[in-house]
Amino acid sequence: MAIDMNMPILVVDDYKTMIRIIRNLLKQLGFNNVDEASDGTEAYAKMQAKKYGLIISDWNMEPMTGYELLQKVRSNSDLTRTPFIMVTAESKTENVIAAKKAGVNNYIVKPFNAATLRSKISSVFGA
Amino acid sequence: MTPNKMLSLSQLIETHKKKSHIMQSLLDISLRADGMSGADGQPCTVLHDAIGQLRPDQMRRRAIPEAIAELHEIGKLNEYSVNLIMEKTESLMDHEPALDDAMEILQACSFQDIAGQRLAKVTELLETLEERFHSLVHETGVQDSHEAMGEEDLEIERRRKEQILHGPQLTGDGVSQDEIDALLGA
Repeated sequence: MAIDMNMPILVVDDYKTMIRIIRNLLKQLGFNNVDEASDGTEAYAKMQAKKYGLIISDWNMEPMTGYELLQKVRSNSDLTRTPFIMVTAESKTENVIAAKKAGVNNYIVKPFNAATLRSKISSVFGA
Repeated sequence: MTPNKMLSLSQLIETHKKKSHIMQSLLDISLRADGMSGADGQPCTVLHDAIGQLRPDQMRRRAIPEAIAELHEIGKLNEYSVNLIMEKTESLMDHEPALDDAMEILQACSFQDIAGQRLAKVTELLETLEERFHSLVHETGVQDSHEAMGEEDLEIERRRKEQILHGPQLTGDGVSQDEIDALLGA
């Protein structure tokens, strides 16, 4: 399946530096339609106002974590099929298993590089 | 007379111990010391010496404020340097790189040396504190008390468990990207 390079992507992280890095990596991969949010609450509000083709979210944020955001997205019938990649420094086995149970499409541990991001996006879209 | 002045010392301690974890800990220590106190006062001397070795006044006045200031400086320095590196890198993505660009990126990387030196000072303080605190706990025999945790601490702990928040793992801990891929069946 071909990836829509113009699909809107929402990057969620409470560190502006990480948003900037992911935005640049996505740009390098050819994705230029990128929005950002600084936590789960802001992301969820943006997702209700605009349909995104992919969510790339950190885990450890407040007031709403990326894990909570994933659970909310999967329990909302309008958003439940939105591809969701967790990009996080949380690298305990229980985190990965919990994210899998909650319906994450892929999981990237920080620090990561463009090749890993490209590979996981391709895997999510079956490309 | 204000209401506070009408309270006995023990009532005041009872009131404050509910509000302050530190007060709770000190109360635990003092109660333990009362129990330890012999006719010659020797156990209390041990306690007194153990607390003295913590050098609490020096810690409060200089060491801890300096350590906090060092951490703030590291945070500011990291943010400034990373922004500088990213700006230069982004500019390189738009045009042919020049030697000057590469030199500016190299210079910005010098933050690692300065941050490392600041972190070494803070690490040394924490190691000293840990050693002295361990000695104090050993001398007094004070046990951890869950009652010493305030409601705010309990709420933070509950949320950490519920949201599975561990933070970044130390090198070698946690799972690798390959292991994550295997867990996901990717």
